[in-house]
Parts: sequence; C-alpha cells; structure tokens
Amino acid sequence: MKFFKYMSTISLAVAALMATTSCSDDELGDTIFPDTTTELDPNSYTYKFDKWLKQEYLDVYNLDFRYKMQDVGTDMNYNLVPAELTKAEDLALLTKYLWFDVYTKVAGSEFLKMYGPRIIHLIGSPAYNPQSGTMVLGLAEGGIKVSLFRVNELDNTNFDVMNEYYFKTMHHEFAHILHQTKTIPTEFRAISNGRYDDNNWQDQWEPRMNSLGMVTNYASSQMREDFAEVIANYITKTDAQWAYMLKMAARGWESESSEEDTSSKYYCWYYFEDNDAKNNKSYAEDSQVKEIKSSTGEVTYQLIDSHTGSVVKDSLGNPVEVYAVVDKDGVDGVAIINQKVSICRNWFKDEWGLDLDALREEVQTRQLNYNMEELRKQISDIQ
Amino acid sequence: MKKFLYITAVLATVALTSVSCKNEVDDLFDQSAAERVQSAVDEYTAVLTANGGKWVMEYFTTSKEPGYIYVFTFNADGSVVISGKNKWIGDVYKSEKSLWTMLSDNGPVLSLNSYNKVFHVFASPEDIPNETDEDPDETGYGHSGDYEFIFMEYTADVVRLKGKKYGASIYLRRLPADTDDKAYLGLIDDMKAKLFNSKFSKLYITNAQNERFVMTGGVNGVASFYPEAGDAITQTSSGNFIVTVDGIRFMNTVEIDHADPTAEPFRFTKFNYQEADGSLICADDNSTIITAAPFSELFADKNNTWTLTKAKITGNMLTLYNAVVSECKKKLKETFRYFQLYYSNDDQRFGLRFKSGNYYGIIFYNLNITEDNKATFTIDGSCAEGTEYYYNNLTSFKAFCDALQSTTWTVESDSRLVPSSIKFVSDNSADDSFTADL
Repeated sequence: MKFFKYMSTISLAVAALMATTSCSDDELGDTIFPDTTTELDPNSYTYKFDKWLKQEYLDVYNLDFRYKMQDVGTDMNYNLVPAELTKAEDLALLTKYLWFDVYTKVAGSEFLKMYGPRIIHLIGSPAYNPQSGTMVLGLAEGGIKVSLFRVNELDNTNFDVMNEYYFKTMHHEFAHILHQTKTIPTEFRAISNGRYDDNNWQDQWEPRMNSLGMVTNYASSQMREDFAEVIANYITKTDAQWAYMLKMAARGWESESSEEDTSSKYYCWYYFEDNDAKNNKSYAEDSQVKEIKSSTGEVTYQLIDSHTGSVVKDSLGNPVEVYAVVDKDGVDGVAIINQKVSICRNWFKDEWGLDLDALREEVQTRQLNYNMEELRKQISDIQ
Repeated sequence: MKKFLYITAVLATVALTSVSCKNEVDDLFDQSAAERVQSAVDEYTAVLTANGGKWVMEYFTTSKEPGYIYVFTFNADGSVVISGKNKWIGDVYKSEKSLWTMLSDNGPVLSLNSYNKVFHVFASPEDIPNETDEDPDETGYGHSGDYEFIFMEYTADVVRLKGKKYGASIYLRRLPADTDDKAYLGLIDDMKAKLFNSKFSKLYITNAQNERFVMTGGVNGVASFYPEAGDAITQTSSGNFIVTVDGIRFMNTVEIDHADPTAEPFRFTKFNYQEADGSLICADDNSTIITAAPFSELFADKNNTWTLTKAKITGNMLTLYNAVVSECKKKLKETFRYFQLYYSNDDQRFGLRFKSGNYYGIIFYNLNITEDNKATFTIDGSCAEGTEYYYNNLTSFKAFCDALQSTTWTVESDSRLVPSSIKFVSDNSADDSFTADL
C-alpha cells in the first residue's frame, strides 16, 4: 500500500514538473502557406471583370463573387459545369442592379453589408435530381453562400425566364438567409401546416396549388420553402402575373382520369352537360371557355370550339351551357396567400425595418427598365 | 524501497530532460508542403504555356464512346483557345476562347473553369441526345466527361492527365506553336477516312502467330473483338479508341480471348498507320496488323457491288471495253453505261452486270482469288434471262469476257483497311488492267 502511495506522490511530482516545463511562448513563424493575395494582374484576360467585381462586391459588401466554378464548393454528387464568362458577366451586372442596388436603395447601404451573402457562386448547368425529375436552381448555404445554377441558359432578352431561373431564385435564397438569422413567424408556420408534401410537390399542378394557398408548387414542399417563395414571388412577379396567380387561387377544381391513363388526374374548372360522358359531364379548360359578363355583373360562360374559335351549340342550336366548378376544397386560396404576404410584410417591417412593398416596387421598376448594353459599360469602361 | 525510489527519481530525471522544448528542427525539406504544391502549380503552368502553349488533347469520357481530339492553346493571361470537330458540336470545326487555371485542390489540377461550348459538352449533365430520344430522361450525368484534370506526369512535350471526377487517362502532346488548329483537325479527318469506312465494317487483326481476330464497329470508335476461330458470342470483348494523326490509341489496354479461352489473353493498346500499305500495325509488338478482309472475301460478299470505272481501265481491256460501247451504240442505239461485279439475289449467282440504255444484263462468272492475291475468272456464257442476246449477238461482250478469263490477274489495293478501289493487273501484260470501285 505504501508502495502505491510513494508511486502516487512521485507521479504527481513528475507530472507537476512536466506541466511547468512548458514550451516558451515564442512568436509564431511565418505561415506555411504561400502568399497568394496578389494584386489583380492587369495582363489577365479577365482583369476588367475581376476589378469590377472587386470594386462592386468585394470592397463594398465583402462578397466573393465566384464565377469560375470551384467543384469543391458544390455537391460532388452532381455533374455540373462552369458558367460561360460572358453570361457570368451579365449575371453579375444584373444581380447588382436587381438585388444589391435595390436593397441598398430601400434598406440603406449597411443592410447587405450585415446580412448579405459572403459568397455568390455561379454554376453553368442545373443540378438534376433524376429520381424526382427536378432540378436545383439555387442554394443558400449556411446563411453565407448563395449558389446560382443554370447560368449558361441566361437570355437577357427574356425577363420572365431570367426571373424564374435567377432573380426569383436570388430573392428566394436571400429570404432563406434572412430567416436563418431571424426565425419565421409562428403564425406563418401554422397556416398551411399539414398541406406540405416534400416528396411529390413537383408532380402537382401549380394552379391547383394556388387554390390551396401556395404561390407555387415548390412552396408546397416545405414551410420554409413556402416562406421564401412568398417573398420571392411577391417581389419579382409583375402585377399581371400576381393577379393571374390569385385568379387561379380563387378557382374551384375537380379531377378526372383520362380514358387512356386512369392514373392521370386532370384538374378542371369548367364543365358542361354531356350524356355520353362519365357522370354526364365533360370538363373544359380555361382556353376553351369564354367569360360573358352581363350589365348586372352576372357571369356566364360559353364553350368555344378550339379549332374554329366559334361558340359550340347544342342540338337545338343554343350555346352549350358551361358551369364553373365549385370550389370545394375548403381552402380559401386567395385569403391564405394574402395572409402569408401580410405576415411576410410585417416580418420584414418588424424584424428588419424594411418595407416589402417598397422593395417590390423598386424591383418591378428596375426589371422592366434596364439596358444590358449600358450595364455592360460598367465593365468595359474599367481602366 | 530506497533503491526503488532512487531508480524512480533517475527515470523521472531522464524523462524530464527528454521533454525539453525545441522549436527548431532540422528542415528535411526546403519548402513547406503548401509551398511545394504551389511551386508545382507554377511549374506546370509554365510547362503548358511554354513554346506557344499549343497542345493536342486526346480526350476520353467513358468506355462507351470514342475519344475526341482537341487542340488547345494555353495563354499566360489565363485564357485558352479550344478547337474541335466532333458529332457533339455539330460535326463542324469550332473554336472558342475560355478560361483555364492550375488549382491545387487535389494536387496540381488543370481546371477549364469557364464554360467552353466546344469542350464542356462532355461534362454537361444534360442527357445525351439521340434520334429516338424525343423526351430525354435526365439522369444528370450526360457523357460523364471531366473538365478538370489531375497532373499525373509530364515531359517537355507530353503530359499525362487524369480526369478528376471520372478518372479517364488523357494525354496532352505538344504541337508546334504555328500549328493551324483547323488544318490539324483536318489531318484527323483524313486519317479517319484512311482507317475506317462503314462499307468495311468487319476488319481482321492478325498477330505474329498468324492468328486472326475479328474487329467490328471501328467506324464508331467503339470496337468489338473476338477470335475468328472462337465463339463470337461468349468471347467478344470491346475497346474504345481515339484516332490520332499516327493511327489509333485505345482508352485502355484491350484484352481479347484466344480461340482457347484458357490461354493468356492477347493484348494491345496502340496501332500506327502504315502509309506503305494502308494498314494499322500494333505499336506494342510491331507485328500485329489490322486490315480489311482478304480480297477473296470482299468479292464473295454478296452485299458488295464493284463498278469497273472506265477511266481506270487500261491497255487491251480498254480497247475491248470501248468496243462494247461502240457496238451497243451501233447495233442497238443504246448508250453503254458500265460493267459491275455483282451478286444477283434473283439468280443466286455472281455475275458481270452491265447497263446498256435502260437494260440491265448479267453474265455469270466464278471468281477465284488465292491467298497470294491471284485472281481468275471463269465465264461459261450462261446469262440472266434476256442477256443471252447481248452475249451471243454482240461479239464485243464475249470478247470482253474472254479477255477476263484468259489471264490470271494480280489483285492490289492502296489501302488494306479501306480497299474501296481494287486494281486487277494482268499477269500476261502489266499494261492490261481494270479497277473495281466499291
């Protein structure tokens, strides 16, 4: 027993000595990594673009705009290709004009410096998910980085497509960054709870999703995607596009199976009596129906022959009576979408001190009034 | 116990003295690991841009498709001009400038890091289109080609790369700075035309032991092989290759079964074109050659129709041919068009087919071609229905046929791989000849 006591004492003493025999606190030596923080090379092929990016993104927002794809910054399970240089230049210009300059104007210059992403990473191709038949258009990673895909399909003459692929995606991903900083309001979480379907959202018909209070199919996948989609769509959709979406949200829907494929479902919103059809009625799509408003405001519908464009008549020569399908899903899609917008509006105001409608107005003004050639001069005029 | 304490104290002292701090250690290397990688990056950058920076890339994706030739010009300003011509970019010459860099993310890596329409099509995730693919089912993998390459090894003029994601072995070979990209790719087209033709879909590989292997699919760049004396079903193997200015190089070493499947497989990787006889000779053993089928098989192929081109008929044969033309004109008021070596499916026989005016006639023959390329015709005067009139009443026809069977012909072709033009020279007189064009 004594032996162990001695051993313990000695061990403790040795340990104490060793502990006090610490290394001296010499200065750390030079980094083992080579210094690669060199100035931009004026002889570089991309000097003007690089300098513009430094001036407009890095120096102002501390943002690294990566247009030369780095596969280590992507999910390596996808097959991806880099962005085309000229497309990357255009997208960098438009991103600043339609996103950064908008927030700077509406929210002040500090807002994006505080909350904006630190990295924007451009990727030329989509990221395909073959099993679900979907593709990734954008990612917001860790509130720091936004990845934009499909850059090589940028067509600066087609704003609707640009909105869908890039600008809506940017606002969507930025909304994620914002709600990763300040959480989504509880009341938003409750609105459509139980209606999200993360596995089959891509198979849904978007107008039907509108009627269930979702602004897009993707919004019906998860609550947080719903939140980002409401913000992004509200900001980027034109008045006409937003009104059409609400019109769809107000409609009633019925589904039917086709004779060829009984598993398919077609969601229809008009019907007329047809003794030869199942349940004695046939369905008509929007394009087949003409809306007639009487002087008293009563609305009736006529069936239009899609080949001749004339009104379809019955055996007695009278126009076939067409009826609107009654909205029986028990969900007031318009009210829900408006409620979601209202929550987002308040969240922007209360949590961020931002006016969502002012943001929308600024984006709408800019996206309908831009001159690509003028924007490009920002790069070409760099000395 | 004192002894024990003493030993313990000594050990502790020794232990303590050995725990001395030493920040300085002898440098085993004169640079840190990161600096060494960076210096390799700088070194490889210099290699690629040296001497005009012009290289030919022998590019492969997977074993399912052929290799593709690209001409690269690496510029020191970070730009690269890539030129190519293949079916995926419309089968026309295209050239485009994009960006490149050397990364150090996986050892030194050559990255073509901005999209180039001429090149990146192989790395794109889009489904590979084909004629029956109206609704592409996107799997997200496309050709599964790389656009980033690990530097494996290099000399001043050859760099071996490895695709970073899919791992294909890819070579860069230095070209003279003044190489014209389009002209160089034209040389590749010329070589392809010399090597493969869909009319000669079945080629033979003959090794030093005179053993023959059948090769098909060469025109597609993805070939199948089996031993001629073996089993075409169970012993078939395949290999994809690239056509270079020298010949062909397979993506991986090809292993073919011998007729005896238990024997060590026959292997090869590269074949060089031999200008002298238009064959491919194996660079691995300098002996094995690839040729088309022997002449005897070519003329026994019932699908082949060979036309005796008038401009290539010489000597007495030309005289006799002209006599046929004259007699048809004189006696029948017909314009004689041609003679062909032809297989008649109706008659199940080979025959000398001709067209005079609007009439097609056939005079049957037997053709025997020996291994040493000596050919003899046998014509007994039997004809297809209706042709007897020409053979019996127009003496020039019989005279031409008699001349064909009156001599032994030496058969020759400039190309052993694409023998689409085969010359018959009379052993009696070298002036007498005709050429059969496929």
